[in-house]
Amino acid sequence: MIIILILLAVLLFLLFTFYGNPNSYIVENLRIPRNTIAFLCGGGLALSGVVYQTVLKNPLAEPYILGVAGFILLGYTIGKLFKVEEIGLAISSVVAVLSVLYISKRLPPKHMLLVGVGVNAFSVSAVLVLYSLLDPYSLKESVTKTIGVVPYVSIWAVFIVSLITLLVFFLLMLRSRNLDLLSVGELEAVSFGVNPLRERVVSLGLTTILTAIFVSLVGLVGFIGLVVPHIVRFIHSSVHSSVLPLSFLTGGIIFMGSDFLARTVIYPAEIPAGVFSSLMLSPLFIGVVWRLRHD
Amino acid sequence: MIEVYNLCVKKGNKEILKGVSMEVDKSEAVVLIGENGSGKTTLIRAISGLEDYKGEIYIDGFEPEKGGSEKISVLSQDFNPVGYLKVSEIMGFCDFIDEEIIKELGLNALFNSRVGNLSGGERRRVGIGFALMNDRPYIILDEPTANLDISYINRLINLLRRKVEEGKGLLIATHDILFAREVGDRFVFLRDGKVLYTTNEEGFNYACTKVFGTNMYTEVMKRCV
Repeated sequence: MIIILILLAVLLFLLFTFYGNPNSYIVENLRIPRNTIAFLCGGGLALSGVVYQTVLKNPLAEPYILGVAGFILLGYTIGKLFKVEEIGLAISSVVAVLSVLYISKRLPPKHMLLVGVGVNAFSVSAVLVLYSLLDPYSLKESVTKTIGVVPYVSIWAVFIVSLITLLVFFLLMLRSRNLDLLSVGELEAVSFGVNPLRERVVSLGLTTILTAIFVSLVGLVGFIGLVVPHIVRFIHSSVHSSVLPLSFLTGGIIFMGSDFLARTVIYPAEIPAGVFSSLMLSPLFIGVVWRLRHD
Repeated sequence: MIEVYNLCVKKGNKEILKGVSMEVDKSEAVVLIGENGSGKTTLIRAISGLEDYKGEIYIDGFEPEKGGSEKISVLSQDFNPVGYLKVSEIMGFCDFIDEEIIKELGLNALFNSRVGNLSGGERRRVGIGFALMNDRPYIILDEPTANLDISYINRLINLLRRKVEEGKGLLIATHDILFAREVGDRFVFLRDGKVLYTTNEEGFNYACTKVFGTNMYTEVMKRCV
């Protein structure tokens, strides 16, 4: 399964990179970086979904729907207002993780999702207002930020982002058994030497680093983090040593495909990539909710 | 040996456990008996290292958070894994698979089901199976008989007695006194966060009468006959 997905990912990567017979400048400086970022973004979001769902014991949790991504985007935008994007990102990420941990102990899972809806609505509105204050002509950019559009970035940025994403992926893989046990239960995990609180903080922290990176680069992309892990669990298994890599690959392939469609459908103009991933995955989201209705 | 001395646990302003002392040795089953809210679950969570406490807890000489909790296998009161896990996957996380336990608990038929689709009793059986198939010197079960029907309770009693014979130390919290009487070697009666009686079979009826007001054990027996 993993091998098939890796082959598919490589094949699609090459197809999307060399589609339409481009010259070497386009390939090296535009398409390879952009496809890589799209792939990593999709994969990173799927990883976050896996971890959020397990750690919060909430099958519908993910950074987007819980408002974490929206809040981080707000932090980023406020930072941008004062030309300190990184600080805005860092502060809002830490605040978001801590509040998720705090609230999850005090609210039932369904209520948490509703809090997320509220945080999201507030954050997106505030981001639109702040962007128009920043520059009235940048409203279009702000709208695409709230849907998700893959940027062209330098090869160095791609290198760093890949490194961080892969590092987070491997660290999560090392904790896959702990995540398995945590999904059985807190007390049950303790007797295997897992410290539930530390496990929550570390794995949520790791994935939130990814969320922060991709929110600042791409914007808010919904449903990948929520739906992809469930597709993998449905087709394969729920054991983390396979859910993590399979979700990473599947999420990456889906978002890279969405970005390809985004670039080509109304070429030379462009649609935000998040539009296509939402278009594909929101019906599946409804399917997931239906399937989990008894839980 | 699990040793608990003068254990106090506070949640907010409320004192849940007020100086509890007790012990569980290998090759014996100790049953914690008490009404709802008497502190049974808190005691178990403290022994597992999930509560801040005052007093002393040692499991074979180790404090819970310093490796002691890794010597116990626990079934929590609300055993409730994420709904999408399959029973076979949960069993896969155990240290070993014991065909007899699987058979006695009727888990074969559930192997391909997702936990979210199980009934309360079925989920309980999965939890019991998970707790019994881990290789630890001590097994702690919090309300194992909740939602179980009588035939499974009988099989559970046999399974647990077998574990005691194998040399395991069992700590079982329950308010089902019939089950308690059959499975236990020693009984610890809790009320309002204090140990009222620690007794063996001989003092069981007396303690029951004192703790529950009436001799509940004979009451229940009368009802059964």
